[in-house]
Amino acid sequence: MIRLALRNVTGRRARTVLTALSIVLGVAMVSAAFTLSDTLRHAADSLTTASYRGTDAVVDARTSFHIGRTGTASQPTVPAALLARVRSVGQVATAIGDLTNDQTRIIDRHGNAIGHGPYFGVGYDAGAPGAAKLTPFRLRAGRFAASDGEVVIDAGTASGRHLAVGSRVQIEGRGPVRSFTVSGIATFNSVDSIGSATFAVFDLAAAQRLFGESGRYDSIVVKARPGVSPTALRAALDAVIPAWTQVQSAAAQDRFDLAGLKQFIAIIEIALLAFGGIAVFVGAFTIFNTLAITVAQRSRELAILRTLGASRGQVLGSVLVEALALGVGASAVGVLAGLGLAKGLSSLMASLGLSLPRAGTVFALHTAIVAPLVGVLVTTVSGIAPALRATRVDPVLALREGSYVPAGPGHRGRRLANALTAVALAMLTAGLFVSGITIGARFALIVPGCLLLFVALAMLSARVAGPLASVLGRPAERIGGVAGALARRNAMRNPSRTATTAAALMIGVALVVLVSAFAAELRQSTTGVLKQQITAPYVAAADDGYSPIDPTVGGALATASGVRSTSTIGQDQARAYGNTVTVNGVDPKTIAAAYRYQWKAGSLAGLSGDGALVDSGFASSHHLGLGSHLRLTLIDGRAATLIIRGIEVPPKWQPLSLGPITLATTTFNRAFPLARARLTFVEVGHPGPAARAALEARLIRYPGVKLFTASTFAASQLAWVGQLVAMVDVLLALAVIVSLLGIVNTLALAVFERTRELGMLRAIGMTRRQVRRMIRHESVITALLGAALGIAVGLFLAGLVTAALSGQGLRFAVPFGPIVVFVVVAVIAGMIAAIAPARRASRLDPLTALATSER
Amino acid sequence: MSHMTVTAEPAPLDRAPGATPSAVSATDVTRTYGSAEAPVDALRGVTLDVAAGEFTVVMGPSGSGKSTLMHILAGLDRPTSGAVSIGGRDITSLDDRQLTLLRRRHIGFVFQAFNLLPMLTAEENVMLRLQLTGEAADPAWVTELLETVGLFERRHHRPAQLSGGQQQRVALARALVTSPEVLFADEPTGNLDSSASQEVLALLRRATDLHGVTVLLVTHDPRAAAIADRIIHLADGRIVSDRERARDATVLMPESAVLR
Repeated sequence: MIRLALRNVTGRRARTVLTALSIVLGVAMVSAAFTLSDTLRHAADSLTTASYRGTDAVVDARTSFHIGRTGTASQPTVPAALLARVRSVGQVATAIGDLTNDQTRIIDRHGNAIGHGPYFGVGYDAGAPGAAKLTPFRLRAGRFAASDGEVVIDAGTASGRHLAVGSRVQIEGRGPVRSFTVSGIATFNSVDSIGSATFAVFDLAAAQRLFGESGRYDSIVVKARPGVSPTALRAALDAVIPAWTQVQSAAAQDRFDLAGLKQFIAIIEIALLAFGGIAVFVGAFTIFNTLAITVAQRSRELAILRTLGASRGQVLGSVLVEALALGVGASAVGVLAGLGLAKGLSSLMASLGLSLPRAGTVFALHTAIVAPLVGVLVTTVSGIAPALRATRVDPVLALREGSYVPAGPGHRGRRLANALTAVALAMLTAGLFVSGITIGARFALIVPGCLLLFVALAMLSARVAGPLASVLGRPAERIGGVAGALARRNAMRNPSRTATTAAALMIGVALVVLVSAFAAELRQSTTGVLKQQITAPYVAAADDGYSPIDPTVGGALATASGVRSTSTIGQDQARAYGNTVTVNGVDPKTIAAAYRYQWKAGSLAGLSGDGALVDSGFASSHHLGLGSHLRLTLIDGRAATLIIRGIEVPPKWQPLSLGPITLATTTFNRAFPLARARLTFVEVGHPGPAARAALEARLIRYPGVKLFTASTFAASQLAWVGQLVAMVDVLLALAVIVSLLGIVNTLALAVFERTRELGMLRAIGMTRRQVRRMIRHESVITALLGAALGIAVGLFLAGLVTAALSGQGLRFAVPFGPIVVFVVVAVIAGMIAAIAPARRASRLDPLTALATSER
Repeated sequence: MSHMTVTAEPAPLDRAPGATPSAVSATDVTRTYGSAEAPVDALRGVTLDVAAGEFTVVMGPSGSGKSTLMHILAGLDRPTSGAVSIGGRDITSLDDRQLTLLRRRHIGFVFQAFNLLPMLTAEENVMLRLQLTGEAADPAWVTELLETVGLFERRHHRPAQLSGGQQQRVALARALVTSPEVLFADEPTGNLDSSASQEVLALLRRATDLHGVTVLLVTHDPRAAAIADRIIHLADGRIVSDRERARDATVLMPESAVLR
């Protein structure tokens, strides 16, 4: 029996290859996800080790709470005098002051910032003896900057923008943009740059002036004398430095945020694994359908086996062994294909601006075990139902004329499908709506609930596939004439087969519709809220919409002609009630004209000195009313006690993500000396091209800052949504391709099954072209069925998620544009899937077809 | 009346020449299958001329080449050598598309296995050929045909709901719907019981008598011989006998239920 099963796998090579391919793709994606993230993580690890190896200790200011280096909070600095103290310690070989921030943009010829951040700006004391051991920067050309007008840039930027030693380059750090001469090109250890980050390395003293930190350092980096261990060095330093400072290892202090990079890699890994999982899941439908059809086609052969004495168990085994063999072969190929796919994905991400450090490909054990295991398990499980159906073949069949197809899911199947749907919906509802459970528990309910829903819907869709195919086939009938009409009838003749084939496509389409619907909701809500909140005609903000801008921008804009007033919102972070919270600084005199508050109590009037506004959610969760006291802990450890003067009601959906606490600008600037600004509202007498031109002229000196209107600002805030949707679409394309393979397979099997019929049609006068058209239309109808089901399910899921998130202020939106695109894509996909089966059908010799009639 | 035709020489057939124009003709047709090392000669030189409106039955044992001959005459297969023409037109030089159009307009087929499309009703199966040509179906003609084959009441039934004989009658109506000049029938009674066979044969004969359709029937069925104008026997790829039969329709056209 096993040999027979294997003969089925090897005997029908084209079918086996197609079926296997659907699993190969999924397994390849899983394998690629592991390989790519292992490779990236390895690269990031070795980068971390290499970057911080020479540095045995870092001394910087102790902070009252931890923030990422790329957050919006301003890091406290240490006085230059501390360096002398550190150098006086006996165990210290070398110690240099260092400045490192992530808001130093290198500007290209068109006035745009290069890269996607972090934009590292570094002050490096190259002249200090032994300094080279304390920096990750390695000169590739030229020399380190020695004066105010010089800079060393990263090799990635230099080669990407054709900059060389001696080139002039604009850099925007603290204050307006300034021009520098490139004195050298450096790599970050062995890599040209880290991902999309850029580096601008200045002379230390020049950097102090540039960043407004004269006489201060962000940190002091230290190398121990030979024979002194890093631990001993840190202990020795700890004994002499002041209590408000701290000493750490370089890796712990992590001034280049390589830990953040690793977090990013982990997210990518999860995303890729998820999409690989989806592709495998979709592949399972193809496997199931192919085996189900072949069992039906082989029913006579199976019946003969049964009359010859094969037991039900042996029949079951033979189909399962066939699935198993398919799974093993496909998974082995898939794992290897994954290695290639990993490279492809890495260049795909590079093209989307996510270039990551590269090093030798890492092929870890879990790639070799987990990925194929997933493939084999899924394939075998998909084979169970067809195998069980094969056991139900009646031995008497062997003696009867004509072909017999074992019944599809009968009454019992329908009851099972209904039950599965109910369970799936219950899991989804619980995962989305039950409060007080962890995120992990939510995912544990939602993900299997979703998968179960898809399986149940595939089973149920057999019931609607007939009528739906009939409706969706109408256009084919109109366009394709008799070929279209026959295609429509063919699509309707085996609804459960058409439904399963379409269901594979349904999954991919449902997910892209879900994501698109969500994106549409975000767009709709964000634009609506911002238009309502922002009354000023113009907003100046960072090009990405959320990075901090220089506090001097507001002043620069205020003097432009036609400007009535400007109002800048400062933003930083502090600690309150044990949480890190965002704190805003607004000018109570000008903000009311630019931004619309909704008051629950109090007003802007009391906002001065130690007055503060809080939002209603924060007020109620901490039982604050007008006149209540609020205690903030600042990053440098200082405390500030404020009195609540107003409680505002923010919209449920907060695209600006202004935090819960707002202070007067004067108070804010005392609390946060860096005075980082989020945006500046600009009121002008007559909004229009003239006013815009005057304002943009002022912004030439701030290339990182762009001028928006309320709606263009909304668009900039949503740029990431578009990128995310594009990324998801690309990754889900894999699932769609897998489902296309399913359509190809089903069509090919149908052509095989209808050989005689096709021969007859050719004999009575159907042209080859008409045969091709008939198959093509059937394919398109199947694809449209998948798209229709997918759109319905996607919108349903979107509605469910939106209802769950109603507290966030999102409202359901139908992504009409994307839906039209998906339908068009489905039609094209259907046509592509039909190419090979249609060609095969049209080449059938009418005679061969008739000869089949003899048996 | 009968005599052996020596196929190597294109001898005149022993029928009155020029009486009727020839509908189908084959000249020295051979057909070889298989590889060069192990050739199988299915036809070894067949010359044949079928007059328009003639009802010809081709008989012979299995492997005699009768089906191959029919396939070649109908333009479904190409001869290895020799010439074939239908309605005076040489078809051996036609390409696939031209052959398809020829089959669509001028040739009707009835197969042993009925070959109806299972998802279409009887009526839709009949109209299928008209739709292939893009012609508008004349409802009166379709109705007449369905009535002729005795299936008007069952015109909305699917093939699965019809008996074998009924299915073959639908197939016959389908073959006749484009008013073909020639109708090829390949063992049309091979899957039928005797009464159904009788009905189908009677209907075939009627096609010739009423509509002047040239019928070429390949069969094992001895009953078919009784209704033929001409009977050709094939053996080993050659015509071994070719005789005309005196027409005596009254004996052969039993008033079956079909012909109410």
